[in-house]
Amino acid sequence: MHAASRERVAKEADITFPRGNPEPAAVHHRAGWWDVADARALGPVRHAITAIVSAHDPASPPSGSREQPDPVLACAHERLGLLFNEIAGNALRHGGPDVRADLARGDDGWLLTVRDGGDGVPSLQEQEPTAAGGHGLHLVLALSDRAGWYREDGEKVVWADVRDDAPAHLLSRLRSHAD
Amino acid sequence: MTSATDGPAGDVTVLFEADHTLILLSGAVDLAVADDLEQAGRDAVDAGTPIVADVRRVDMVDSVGASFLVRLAASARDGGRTMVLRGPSPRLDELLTLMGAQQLFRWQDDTPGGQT
Repeated sequence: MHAASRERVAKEADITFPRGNPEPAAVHHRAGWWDVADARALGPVRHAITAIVSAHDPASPPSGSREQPDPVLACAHERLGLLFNEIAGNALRHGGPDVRADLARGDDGWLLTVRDGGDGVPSLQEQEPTAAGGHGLHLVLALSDRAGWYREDGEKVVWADVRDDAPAHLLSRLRSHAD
Repeated sequence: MTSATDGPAGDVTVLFEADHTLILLSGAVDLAVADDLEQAGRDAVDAGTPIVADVRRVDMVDSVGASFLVRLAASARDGGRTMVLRGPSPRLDELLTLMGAQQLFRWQDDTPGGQT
């Protein structure tokens, strides 16, 4: 990457994909775990995850109106479904083998964890909209409240902390476009 | 094995019309249909006519599906055209917004009061 584009990316994003464990307090009980054998498993596992999460979604969205409905991604199950696809899809493409997803419930949100046996390092690539890849982890940071990765027992673990209420940084990005 | 709660699998169809090429996307447009997307993109670009993507039946789309559309839109822009998305699809619209790519597209919405 050229120095100029690196500077621009740093200015626009000002973030790196962080290394570190989620705080143990984020997890209370395990809601489910699934093997993700290949890309065809993404759909069935995603539906299992969104079914569990949507059972916790509030009955009616808080602030949407007929004129300006809430974004689809205001719903926690929509965020979790997309996060699962991005993180597990990355693991299938760049990591692997033995991709496994875990979902755990906390007080006011979820912890999604995806492990794989690869030895790569998750990296945020250039955030050009027309780039062939590299969008996944930027989306993970946009959709989650916190996210990161660590290594454990020879596995790479990527996690996303997802509160029931959509993060303010996500809503402001989606709503500034709608105005 | 799939069940009713698994939702429809993704599907990619290319239709060659006289003055444009229509790419019909439906179901889950993700890594599971990556090869189909790649083939559809090649065929559509080879046809040389403006590309329209019908995304009304997309149930789920992630960065694999959105990046496919963005690359087609970038090549349309290089040819002096704006790629048309036949919607609505709020999921795709929100994803393109998060990717900073919404200005590459023109939405042609089917709903009353939709953008045209």
